Amino acid sequence: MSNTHPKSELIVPSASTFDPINLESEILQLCLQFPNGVSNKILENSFPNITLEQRVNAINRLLALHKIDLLTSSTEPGTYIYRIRDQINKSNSSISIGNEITDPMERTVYQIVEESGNLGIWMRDIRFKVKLSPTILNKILKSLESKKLIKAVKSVHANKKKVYMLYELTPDPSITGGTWYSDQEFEAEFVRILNEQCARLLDERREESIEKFPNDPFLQRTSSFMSSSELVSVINQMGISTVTLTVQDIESILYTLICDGKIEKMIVASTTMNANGTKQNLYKSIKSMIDSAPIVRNPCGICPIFNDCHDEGLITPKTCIYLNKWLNF
Amino acid sequence: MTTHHIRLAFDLMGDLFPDETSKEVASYLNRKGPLPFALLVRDLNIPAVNIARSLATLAIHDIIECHEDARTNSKRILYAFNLKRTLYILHYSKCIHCARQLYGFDGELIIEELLLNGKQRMSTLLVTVYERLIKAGKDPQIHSLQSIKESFKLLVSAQFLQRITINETKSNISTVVEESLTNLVQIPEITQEGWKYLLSSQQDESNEPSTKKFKSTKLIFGDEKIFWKVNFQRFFAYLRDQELIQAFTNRIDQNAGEIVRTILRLTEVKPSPERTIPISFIEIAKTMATAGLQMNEDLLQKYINLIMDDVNNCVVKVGDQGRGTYIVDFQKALSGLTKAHIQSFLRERFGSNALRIYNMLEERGCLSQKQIEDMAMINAKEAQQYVYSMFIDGMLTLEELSKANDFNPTRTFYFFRVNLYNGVLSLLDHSYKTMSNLMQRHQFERERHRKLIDKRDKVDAIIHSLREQNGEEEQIKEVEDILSPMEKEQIQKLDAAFRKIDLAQLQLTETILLLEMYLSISNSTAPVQKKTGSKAVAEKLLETTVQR
Ligand code: SF4
Repeated sequence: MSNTHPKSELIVPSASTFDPINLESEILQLCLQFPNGVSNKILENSFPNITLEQRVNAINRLLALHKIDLLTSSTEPGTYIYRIRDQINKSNSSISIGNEITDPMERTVYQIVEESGNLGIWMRDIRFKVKLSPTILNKILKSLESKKLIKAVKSVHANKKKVYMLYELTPDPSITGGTWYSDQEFEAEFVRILNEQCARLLDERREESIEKFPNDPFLQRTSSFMSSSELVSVINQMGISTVTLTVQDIESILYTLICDGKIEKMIVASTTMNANGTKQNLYKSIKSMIDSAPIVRNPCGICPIFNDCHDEGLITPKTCIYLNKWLNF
Repeated sequence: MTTHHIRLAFDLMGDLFPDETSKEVASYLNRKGPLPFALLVRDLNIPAVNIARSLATLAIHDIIECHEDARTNSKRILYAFNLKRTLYILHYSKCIHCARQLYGFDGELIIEELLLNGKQRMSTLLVTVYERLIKAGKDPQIHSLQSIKESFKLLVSAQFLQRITINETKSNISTVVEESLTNLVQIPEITQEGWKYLLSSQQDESNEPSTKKFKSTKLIFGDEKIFWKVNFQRFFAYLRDQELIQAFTNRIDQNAGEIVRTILRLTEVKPSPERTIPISFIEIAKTMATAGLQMNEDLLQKYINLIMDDVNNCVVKVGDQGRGTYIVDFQKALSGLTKAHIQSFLRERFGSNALRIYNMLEERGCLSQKQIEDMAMINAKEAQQYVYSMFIDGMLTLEELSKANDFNPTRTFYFFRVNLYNGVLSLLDHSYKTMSNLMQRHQFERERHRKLIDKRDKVDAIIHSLREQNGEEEQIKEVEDILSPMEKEQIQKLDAAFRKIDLAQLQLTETILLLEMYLSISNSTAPVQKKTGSKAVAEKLLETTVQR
């Protein structure tokens, strides 16, 4: 965000006959007149002596600065409309959000928060930088929050830890925890389902390939591999997840499956599938070496009170209820 | 050795040597270390004759070893208890089972007799086995002394039996000498007259045991000083091979299992605990063909390529002669199999998420609690629980790295790490205790239902003798009815329970065997030392960054 920087920075050197800043503010003014949005047509009519390129540049600039929003038109499908974004700004027609802060203390704090980007900043760290007393700082932050200039985001790392960042920013995945978190809660169930689905897909692939090549162990093996990108597209199509999963997301799920001992991974140089020469991760489901260790086939192997079980006393093999059940007594 | 080992060892001994003296002598020796005979007599409140007798029996079984006192120059003989050997008793039933599969009924009985008696001469052994065969109602036409001897020969040439001779050069102690390899497979020739005698005793099928007869007559059989004992290492190796074959079958398919079986069979009788001798592709192909397995060389090569990639890469290509030579690296094989057992144990005992954490730690080296939570993709709280319960069970080790040297918890990093060696020790201990628990329960139920069992045995005996005398059906029925329906039902239940326990124990010995073999082969890889101090912190941080 650079809205508090001097305006001169925004000037595009190539444009000498017109002032881009002027154009931008004029467009904004126009948007303010039409709170329901301005279509391309209106723009064209309003600024007849501006080239298309200049207009697009100006609009892109405004979009990048989050001054306006790009929406699809509801009345005329296929066209776009531009709408003023910030409700506060509507009233005083200022194009710079930061400028509207009059209180110098608020301004400093705002700048500090702004610097922290989408990683956010702790209240404690703000205090170190501005050397204000906690109560005052709190008040300032509250006021900024109420103006919807900054927001507090709870970090997934520690429940009580809040970080502050500019209102319009999307927090970094490391703060929210990425795909696997919603409302700072880890979605174990979601992960579990994805884990199972991946395992199932790979299992099916394995069985298919055994059927396809009954007499060739080598082909059986190679054709049971699936690449992570292949898995991503299948999983996304299944519609398990409301958000679209990325390859990274699925790879971290697949990593858990590897650790579960259900699949194995092979890295190969990419084939024709995507010929940009990168490495590709292939996965394949595997079978375990043993069905189950003999020790877990009797109650003592999995007994929760194993360490409390002795020859004599309350817990002893002689009277043990687990053994009773196992032996049908 | 933990208390569980010791406990189990004495329980096992109690089963094999029911007399109290043996147990007492053994446990005293276990506590005190090697002792001379005189001290044993002094300390234990048991008549010297009895002590001597049990020492002798136990020594025959190698459970007690005697050797000269090395410290003093006196010719005192010390007796020492061999706990490890005692625990071999666990595997007796597996060995017997294995002998039956390989060498039929004759082989089974030979091994069983030897296990029961420790060491024996061939001539004695042949006779006892023959008698037992006849008693078991086998056809004397098929099972003769000659046929038993053949089985014996096979067992010897496959090195399942070990030949020992008595060395009498030292006057006061008769040491047994395990013979060198060349002699090992030689079978003593039984003298003409001895063999004739044996055959004659075979013909008169008298009921009185013929052993007694030839003890009184001082016949020379020609194998007076040559004894035989079961070669446990060979059996263990065989059992290990079976596990390995099974693993390949599970992982790839039946054919792969057969190929591995062929490789292992070809390399069977030049045992080294670490690896097999190299074997060439051509040899494998030839043997496969003679064994009647249809497989062209192309396919075989494909399979072998797959096999090399599996079960911890334990089949290794070592050369190109004969279209590629291969060995089996048992160290790798065993650690692969052991890992599989540990993993299965963890999955069932703590849940699959715990297994996930374990494997992750194994792959990444060492991780802090926080890293574990992030990577395992499970709830932080759950992850904590899994980590700590595995830690308590000795599956994970904790490393503390302090920035300063005061180990202030706030300034200390805690890392968890997986150490296979420790894990094996812990699982082994668990297995031994489980074994012990099952035995206890078995014992307890037997005691509790002693009366009922005795009654049933009596009834069975009567029915058996009635059948022998061609008693009438009605009579038999009458005897059967001595047991009330209630009792019958209970007996059935009891039998089922005993069978279940036995089976569980038998299966458990497989794990125990593998783990023990793993430990013995990887003695060099002792657990890593815990590194501490700031230097170690630096190292650790380096290590983790490299891994990322
Ligand atoms: S005997 Fe019962 S209480 Fe004891 S370890 Fe076995 S199952 Fe657990």
